Amino acid sequence: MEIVKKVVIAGHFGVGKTSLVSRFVHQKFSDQYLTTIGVKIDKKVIELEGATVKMMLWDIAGESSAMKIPKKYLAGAHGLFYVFDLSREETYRNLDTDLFELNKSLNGNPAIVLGNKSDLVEETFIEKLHSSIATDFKITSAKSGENVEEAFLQLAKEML
Amino acid sequence: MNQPAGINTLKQLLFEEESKRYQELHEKIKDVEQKMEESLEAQKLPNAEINALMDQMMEVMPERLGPTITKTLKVQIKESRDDVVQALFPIIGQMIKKYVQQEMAVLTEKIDKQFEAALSFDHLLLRIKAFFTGVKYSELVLRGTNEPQIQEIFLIDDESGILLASYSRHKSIDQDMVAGMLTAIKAFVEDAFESGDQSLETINYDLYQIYIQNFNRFYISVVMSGVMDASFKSKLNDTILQFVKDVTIKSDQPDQSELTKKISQYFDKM
Repeated sequence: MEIVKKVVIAGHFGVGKTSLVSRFVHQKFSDQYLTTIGVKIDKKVIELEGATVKMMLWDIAGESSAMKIPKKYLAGAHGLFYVFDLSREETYRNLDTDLFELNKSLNGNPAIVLGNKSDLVEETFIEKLHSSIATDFKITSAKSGENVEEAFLQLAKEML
Repeated sequence: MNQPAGINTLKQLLFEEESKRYQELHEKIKDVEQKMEESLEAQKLPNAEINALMDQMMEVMPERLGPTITKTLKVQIKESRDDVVQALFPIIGQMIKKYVQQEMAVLTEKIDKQFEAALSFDHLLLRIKAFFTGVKYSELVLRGTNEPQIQEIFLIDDESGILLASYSRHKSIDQDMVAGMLTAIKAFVEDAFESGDQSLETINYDLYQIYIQNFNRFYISVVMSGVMDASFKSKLNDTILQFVKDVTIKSDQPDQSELTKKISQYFDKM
């Protein structure tokens, strides 16, 4: 059985969304599309629980607020990654508001929050952040590859 | 001239010394003449050698100096790109102009030929066809020069951009990603121009045209080569509408292979 799912990757400027996608897939389209129309499509096919899952990844150009993301880019999404930069507070300061806004377009579909660039911060800082932020998040590093594959597989499972 | 013997004897007596000096001078001049001739002959030899050397150099030069010249030129072009562009622009511009003129001439010739043959049986048929179908005669003639041809068809979910089915004469690029990008471009244009209920209908690129027909939950995108005239567009629209009317399309996980088969059935004959 083959299943096709649309996955949106959103977050502030420079949090590492494109780098995370690059870690996960072999890109075919140029990154220039991101700056031209604000989105770039990539594809990753994975085998999961006896099914072939085609993940169509919509890597959306960074915005300072989720309100600014064109609604049409979020439409029909089966899953979402919200990425923030662990080393830049302004990228997760309005995390709850941004997630609330994005969830409106998700129709109950799963969303996973990723705290990226774990290679730039101390372990103790991450522990403190976990206790200060109400929303659960998974730490990743596009640089070292930490948790990248796992995050995508987790979302694929939740979408099935 | 014969002179009396006395006069000759007198000459000898009077000019004996002068005669001797004259004889000596004559000998000297002859000597100088001979030396000059010899010198000229000697000069000819080095010239020949130089000529031979020049010939040899000309022969060896491309092989020996070619790579160095090419390398130098490359560096020069790289370092003064603007100058090169400025120098080449008028030439290339002229070339393009010439090419376009030539192509226009070819097209004019083609059309002329079509008109010249206007009284032929085929064209009589075209005129009858134009009369009954309502399509302009000139349009039918033009259609003959650059007929439209369907290259690819994509049936795409309007919201997610997921490919529901496709038909292609030559598969080249990942169709799932093309479907996604087409949806993104469509969404971008519709969003950027705040078109409300209006949707993107055509995208033109070079000799190709992407025709988009929007429906409630999905859209059909037809990639075509050639010139799409009004009657072809009408025929294409009719076929698309007939296809949508006859075939049940479920946006949520449709049977791709079945849908692809159906698309081929409907659009192959176009």
